[in-house]
Amino acid sequence: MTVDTIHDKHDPLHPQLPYRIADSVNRAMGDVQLQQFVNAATTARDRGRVETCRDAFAERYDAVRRHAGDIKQHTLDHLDIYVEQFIDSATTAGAQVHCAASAEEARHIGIEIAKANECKLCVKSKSMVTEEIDLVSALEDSGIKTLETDLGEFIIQLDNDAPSHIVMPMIHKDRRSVARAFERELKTKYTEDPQQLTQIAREYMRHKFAQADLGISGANFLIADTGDVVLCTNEGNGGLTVSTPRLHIVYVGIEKIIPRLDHLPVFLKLLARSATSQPITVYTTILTGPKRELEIDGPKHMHIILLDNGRTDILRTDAREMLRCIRCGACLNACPVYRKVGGGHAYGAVYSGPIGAVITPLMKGLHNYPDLPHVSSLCGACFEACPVHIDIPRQLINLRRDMVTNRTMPLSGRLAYKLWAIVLKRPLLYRLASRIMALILRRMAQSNDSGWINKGPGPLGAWTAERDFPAPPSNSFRDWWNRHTGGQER
Amino acid sequence: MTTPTHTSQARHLGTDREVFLAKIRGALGAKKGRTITEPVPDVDESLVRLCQTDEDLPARFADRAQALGMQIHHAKVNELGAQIGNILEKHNCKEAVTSIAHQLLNKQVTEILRDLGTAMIDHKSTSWHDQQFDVDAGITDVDAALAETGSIIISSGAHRSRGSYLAPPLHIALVRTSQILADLIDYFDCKNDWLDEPNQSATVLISGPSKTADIEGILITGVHGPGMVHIIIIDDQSQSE
Repeated sequence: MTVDTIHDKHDPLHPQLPYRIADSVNRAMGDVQLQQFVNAATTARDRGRVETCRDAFAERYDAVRRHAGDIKQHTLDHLDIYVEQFIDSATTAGAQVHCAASAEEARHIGIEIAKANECKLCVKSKSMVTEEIDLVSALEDSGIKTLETDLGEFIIQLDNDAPSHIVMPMIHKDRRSVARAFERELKTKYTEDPQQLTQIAREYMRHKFAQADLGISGANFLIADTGDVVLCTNEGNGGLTVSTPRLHIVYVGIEKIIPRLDHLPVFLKLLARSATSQPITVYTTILTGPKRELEIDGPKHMHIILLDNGRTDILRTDAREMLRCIRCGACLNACPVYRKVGGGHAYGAVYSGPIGAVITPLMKGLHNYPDLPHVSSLCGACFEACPVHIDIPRQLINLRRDMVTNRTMPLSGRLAYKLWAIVLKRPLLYRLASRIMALILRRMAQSNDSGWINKGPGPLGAWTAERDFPAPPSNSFRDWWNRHTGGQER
Repeated sequence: MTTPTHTSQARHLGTDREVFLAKIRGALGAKKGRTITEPVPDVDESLVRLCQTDEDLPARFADRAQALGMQIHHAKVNELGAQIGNILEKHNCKEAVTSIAHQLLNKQVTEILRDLGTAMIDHKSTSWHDQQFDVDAGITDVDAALAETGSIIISSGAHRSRGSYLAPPLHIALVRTSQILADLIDYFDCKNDWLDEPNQSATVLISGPSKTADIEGILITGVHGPGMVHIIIIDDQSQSE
């Protein structure tokens, strides 16, 4: 894939493939501070989501999530019709719509438009799709200076770092690293005060907004029947991006469409509550084509680049529901594994957390991301948090199934699961096997000071390389049960 | 002016639209020209509506807007001058841009600012593009407001600039009580009815001062947009004595 070959620097979101997770997890597990940041931020956001959603919807919360999921699912089931309708209505509104089959094509279209319009300075608001296609470095390589204007993304750009959360991109960084970056790159006086740091960024970027001749944004929703593009932001940079530059390019995945404008409130009511425990984002901007003749400001030209880049491959499968995702990040905040692995970088891809664990292998190939379907305890917290009711645990299990059926899993692994299935179906054999296993495992743990099994013998070595086991207790649950119920099995 | 127009090859870049749509159809197993046979899901108001009443909408709106961090003031039409004067004086604003679509209100505010001696920046002048980032305050009216969330809704047009409510550090929004709707659902059911001008290109729902929590999750206001939003609610419904 071109996205991956254009990189020679180390980029956690576009790593060498196939990607194995062990190294970055081990690094994160040893980084106590990182775990504290991610833990504090995600648990607070998760609690906030539950409180604000229960407060607003009370006992209707689950039904509202299902309702939003139904509207999105209907749209996906008829996506051919709705994409066509959107192209027509956006064109009628005065926008030019382009179709990009791949990341490379999407980058190419944007650069061609920028060059044809002699753009020199681009202000960009936060967008996951532009991360997905790795747009910024391509723009810079073409001589178009590009400034990330979302505060978090701006800091990450200054540090040549990568975002680690869909909604809170610099969840892995603290104020000291911001202070150092501003002092080094913007030559401002060192301060760790978040208020002052924000002020510095504000002043710096206002001049850029005034100079910029190109604004690039993503989109949270596209409205099929009106051709509207909807942006949800909190800082106001999204609004400025579509106000001062003379040209606006929207990058958006085809799955962002909803049928009608009157469907929008359902999603507006869920998105900000799920993402940041706000009733609605501070700015909800609805754009219907470029600036009209008599209007005072806004872009003269608006281009919308619709992106496939693997989405039709997901649409084809029984994982279609994954495309309902509205990128709120609630599943990341709810996920105990995301917290433990130190946030998004460990997933080796733009989309992280439970949603990323499913869509990354689907978009880039299971063989390229064989670990991701296993980066979950299947506890179900992501499913409960999802505002569009995506059954993420079910999809993870499906991927694990696919790994066996399409032989992504090595033969030894597939044989071991076969054997395990035979044992599980026979109670007597299971009892015998688990007794022998417990004996062996205890013996192995004794030879190790930690009391844990870190490395299995022979063919188990590979499997246990990413899994540590506590030694089983000498008394099994079955023994305990039998003793306390007088040997009566129920 | 050197604004290049689009060359013809810039019109259709990338994959041909029919090829692109055919790939989606292929993934869905659908045929070209098919129509939607099942009913499109309608919004279930019994689930989604959060403001169930049309009573006391101004009070509900004020309450919610305040919770979002916006400052609320109430004024009769003849008290507007004093209210605007107080806010501008409190924040030491020497100049302001007015971006008001309602003609009478615009005339009135222009007179108020003249009396106050506040310098008026014209958003229709050619220098506006650079000037907008130096103006102390932006004064606008609104299309509508929402009791459910406390949001104000502003469309851009020939009389309202996008920059006026985004670039200055202080935004004063004038909301008439007759413009306050109950729920987001009520607004999006008939968005076009609330536009001041037909066929405009941008509408924004503003729900608080500009915010970020990107640095260690600490809430800071005024990152790109205004850090202060004052709303003056003008009673245009009560019978005056």
